[in-house]
Amino acid sequence: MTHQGEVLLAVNGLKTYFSTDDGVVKSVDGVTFHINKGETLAVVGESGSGKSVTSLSVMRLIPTPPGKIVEGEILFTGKDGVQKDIVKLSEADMRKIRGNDISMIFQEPMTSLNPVYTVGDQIAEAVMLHQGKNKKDAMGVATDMLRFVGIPAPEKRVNEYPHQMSGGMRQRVMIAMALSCKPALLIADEPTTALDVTIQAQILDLMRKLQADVGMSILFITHNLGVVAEMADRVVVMYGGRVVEEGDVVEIFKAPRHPYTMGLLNSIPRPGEAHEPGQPKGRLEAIPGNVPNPLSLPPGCAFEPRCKFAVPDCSKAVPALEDTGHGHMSRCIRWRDFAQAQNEVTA
Amino acid sequence: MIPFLLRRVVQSIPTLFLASLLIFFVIQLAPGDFLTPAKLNPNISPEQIAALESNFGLDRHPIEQYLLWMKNMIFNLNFGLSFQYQQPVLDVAIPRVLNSLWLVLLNLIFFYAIAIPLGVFGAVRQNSLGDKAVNVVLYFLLGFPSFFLALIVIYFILQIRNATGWDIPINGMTSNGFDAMAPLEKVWDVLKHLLIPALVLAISDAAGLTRVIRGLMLEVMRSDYIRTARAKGVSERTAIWKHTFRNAILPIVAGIGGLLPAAISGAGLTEVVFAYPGITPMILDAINTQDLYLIAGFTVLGTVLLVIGNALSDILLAVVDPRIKVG
Repeated sequence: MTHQGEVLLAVNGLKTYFSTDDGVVKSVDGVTFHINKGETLAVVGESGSGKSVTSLSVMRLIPTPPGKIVEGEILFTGKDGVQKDIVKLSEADMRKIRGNDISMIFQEPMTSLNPVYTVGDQIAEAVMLHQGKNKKDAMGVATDMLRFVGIPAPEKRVNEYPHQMSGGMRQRVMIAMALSCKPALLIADEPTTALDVTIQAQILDLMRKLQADVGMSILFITHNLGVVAEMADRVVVMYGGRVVEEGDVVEIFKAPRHPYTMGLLNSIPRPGEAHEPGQPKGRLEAIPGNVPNPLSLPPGCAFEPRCKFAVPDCSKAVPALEDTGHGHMSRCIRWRDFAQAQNEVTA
Repeated sequence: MIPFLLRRVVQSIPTLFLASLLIFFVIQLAPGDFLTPAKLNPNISPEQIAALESNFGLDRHPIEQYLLWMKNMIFNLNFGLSFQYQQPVLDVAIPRVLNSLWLVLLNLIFFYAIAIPLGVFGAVRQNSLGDKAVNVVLYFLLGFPSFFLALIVIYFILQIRNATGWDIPINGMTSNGFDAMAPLEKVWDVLKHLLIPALVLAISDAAGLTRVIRGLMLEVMRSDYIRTARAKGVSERTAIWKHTFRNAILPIVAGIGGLLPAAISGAGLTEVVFAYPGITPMILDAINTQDLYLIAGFTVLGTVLLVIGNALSDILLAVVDPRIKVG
């Protein structure tokens, strides 16, 4: 399914800062990653790790002021096959990309649709804008898209308002809107977080099926590692505005090379382990402490204050992102120790 | 829609009844009556006073007066007789109300034409130099009584008139020789007289609405669906007007029914300052002389329009906001 080597989006050294009254918040501080064509890349991290700001930077939807992309490039190859640097595009050129080459769906389906227009109108707006269709044809496309995302009776639903639909239905409408112009990249910013679990599974199934049909890449932003295991080909783990680990999804789950990723993995409930008969109920391991204040990040590794493997060297300088083999990257000075420990266990 | 209107009519009956009671007896609470100045005049004999009292019905018990007044209003649409003008209240008030109506309508046009663009501008360019400058002026206007602003404007216009000889009317509603003018000339003449008072009032009133629109716009601009619209690639203009403004004005549409009674209640002290023959000077005078039925009749008219206006607001809100159903 993945077209190896064909890079769709390459983010290089992206820095997005917000100036506040208390100082400059370095929400995204030198982030580099890429997405291949047809691939799903998951960006994982806690709230405040910079993952949403990264995705909004790719869309150039950072509210300015206070936010600003201060450095880096975002190279994107659109449907026209021309590579552009999104950071340098004019606002008019950027509008042609938004909704057409790159679409986005959001966390909150209940508030992400405009309450005063019908869902058909809202889908048709993108179609009219990017495909030059008239209102009648665009409404036809909207109806087809609603059918495509599995909404029953789309001819009737197309004339309904968002408040007449459930959360799961609205997220389907958001997906229909995002896919209406067959984008090359879909950015999904925690698209299932606000939905209940059965609906989450339906939406994830739908996204996988549509990805196979449309052949787009997905940038999947989440803090839910269960969703990552189900959806992603590769994973980028973010902490404190930086990438701390990157790699193939199987590698990340089997052999994490950064203590933060290990902490995230240990905080997933696993059936069977948690509650054995006759045993005291097992407790989930939590990562101690909180995400650091973005105004005063530690001088060294941002995770050092919460890390149980920390050594004095950790707080000296920001560790480099090192290749640990097979394109698996880690921003931890002790990754070799973890690799060794793991080899001993498997040996 | 028909059941809604019927229900509204039925609901309005107790409202109007209570309002009429309040109106009538609050006016009665003031010491004295229309004849008090006559009673204090040594040249008018007690017999004359008694004759006038029975003529005006002021010798009867207030409750009896109220019931008679209500009976005449309900069955004959007769709002009573103005003591001072010795004519039916409606005949006296309606020409003045119409004069005021033109002023209020022009004022409303200016009012929205100023407040909407300024409010939207302030939200879109929040905290810019322009926004801050507009805010300073607005705060100044908010704390500044409109009649005093009118006086200052009159002073400057007089200076301009003296310096340039331009004919900028700042007083009354018509020029001398109005009756001899052709119909179109008459319209133009009245418009010229309306311009300055309507503009002054609009500028001073628009401050409040501008702040409200700015706040509503800012609130909607931060909502998720505006981000969705931008993510679709819509232009800045579409994002602001089609998506943001359309949602921001919903609370304003909800209050639009209040304009109906406002349209007949005149432009307030602005009419007095510009010596405009509107309804406000007449009502102020009626309050001074305790011209009972003129005040009461006018107030009842305003109350009826308020009830109609509120029903109209509800219908309009259901038209602009699909989440709201009339019923």
